[in-house]
Amino acid sequence: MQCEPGPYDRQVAWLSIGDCAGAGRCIPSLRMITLEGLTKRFGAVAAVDGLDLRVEPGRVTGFLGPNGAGKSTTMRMVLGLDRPTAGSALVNGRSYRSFRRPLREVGALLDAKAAHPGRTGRNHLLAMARSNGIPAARVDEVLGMVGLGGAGGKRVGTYSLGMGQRLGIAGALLGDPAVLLFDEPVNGLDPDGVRWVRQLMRGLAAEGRTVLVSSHLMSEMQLTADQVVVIGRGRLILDAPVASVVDRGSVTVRCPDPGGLDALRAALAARAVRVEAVGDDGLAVAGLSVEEVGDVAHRLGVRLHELSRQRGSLEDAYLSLTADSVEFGA
Amino acid sequence: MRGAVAAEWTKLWTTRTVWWALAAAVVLMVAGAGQYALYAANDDLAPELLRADGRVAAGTVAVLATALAQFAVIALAMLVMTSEYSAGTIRATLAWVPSRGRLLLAKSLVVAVVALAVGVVLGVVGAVVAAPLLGDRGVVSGGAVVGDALAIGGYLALISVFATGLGAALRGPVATLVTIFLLVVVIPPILELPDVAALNRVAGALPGPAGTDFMRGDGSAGLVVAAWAVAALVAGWRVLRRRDA
Repeated sequence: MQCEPGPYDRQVAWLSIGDCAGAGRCIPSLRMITLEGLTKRFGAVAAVDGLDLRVEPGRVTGFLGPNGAGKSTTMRMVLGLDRPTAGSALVNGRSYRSFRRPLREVGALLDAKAAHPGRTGRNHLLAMARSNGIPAARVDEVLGMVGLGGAGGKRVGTYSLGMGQRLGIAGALLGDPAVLLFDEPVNGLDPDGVRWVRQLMRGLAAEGRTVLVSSHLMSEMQLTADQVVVIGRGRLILDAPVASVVDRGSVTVRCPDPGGLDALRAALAARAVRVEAVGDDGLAVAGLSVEEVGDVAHRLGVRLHELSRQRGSLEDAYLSLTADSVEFGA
Repeated sequence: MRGAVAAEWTKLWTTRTVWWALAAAVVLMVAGAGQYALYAANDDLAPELLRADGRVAAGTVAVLATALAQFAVIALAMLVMTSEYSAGTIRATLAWVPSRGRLLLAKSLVVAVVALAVGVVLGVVGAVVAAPLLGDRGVVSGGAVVGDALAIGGYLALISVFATGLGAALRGPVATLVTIFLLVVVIPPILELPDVAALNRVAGALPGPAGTDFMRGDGSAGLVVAAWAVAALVAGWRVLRRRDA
């Protein structure tokens, strides 16, 4: 992939350009999250099981999986909070624990409870800034960016869930980092807030940053993410562009003659990935285009009442991918 | 390291806990010093607490009252570490300062400086409260009061670092406070009850009695308290490094 240096990244921009121009892709360590054989066992249970993954800059990577799939554990290992049982999780080619001023490299929103309820939002960010030598002026800047400009002087315990999320996002942005992790960032946000988060993520990726976002909301991820990573039971199930996942839609045909329907079904089954009956007179065809299905029907001389394309959704793709790995199914 | 210390300093002074703890320390010191001064005025103090001339130094009363007042300072120091777990902020804190050793040292430094300053103030407050109540039986000399106040500050700094390290090792405020209470207050008199020399020596090496000896002028007892503080820091550092946050 091509790597455009973001405007924020003055120190390493020259290095990225050089490497991108030569090899057609960035050297793997820069502005990237790299997981290699990442494994975390709690007793006999593997929460994360040999995960290999590269989260690349310049795009939003959606991190999906059922409850208990290992998303949060993976993010905690990236931040050096949990020790991997095996394998490694590196940011910019280094382990998180080796950073002296990590907030300038990696911003993270893990949970809304990250601030002491008795401290004001502003003082929380001020302590955070001081820990990494970030100027105090940046605190008011990020408070304004997340829409908490007026609430910075209030104690965190009085914040709504949505305000807590905004404070967490402000913390993630504080060090102007090139790599950002957000665990369920839209939890508790109203529709305006959800749209704001979406635009923020898109904007951060457009600036060349690496953005990893976990979420349960498939429709939201379909709008936000460029790349989607799905894990189940701690293992990688899918790592693909959202567009390619969503485009695995199907073609619906309806045919009023039972004989014609059977003939069409037999002919399509030989060529399509999957053909399923829909009602009494219809078929759902996966893996062929509308044109191809129409041509087959024409050759057979079968009468059609409908020939249409159904766009797939990320949700459908996700549900079929994770059907086997739902830990807490109903 | 400078950033970690600045962050911990900011965190300490931006919740109400610190003000409650400091107010409690002063109240306990005033009450304790008043009571011990009255004992002294009634000639009820143990003979080894008296000066050669049979009178009582005002600073000695402050040292005695520290046995009670120290718990407000210990609670504050312990909360600097354990509130990270009870309030759920430890993950954020470790994300800011990923080096466990640096974090623990920063917290210890902040706690030690505050405890030292508070201890000096408490020592002076105790002596000021004691002086008028002691009357003729008391001796107030500026130099001696400052010496006693510095000793109280030094002890509180060491025991606070001990509380911080223990808090990191045990994680919970209840377990930490109970352990400190046992080591400082409960176990020593139980060990001393049979009056066996070996048991008395063990009791004297526990942080509470060693601290008392230190405040009464035994410098080597200060090293014993310091050893407890270092041991707690090492234990806390190992837990922070090894266990998942």
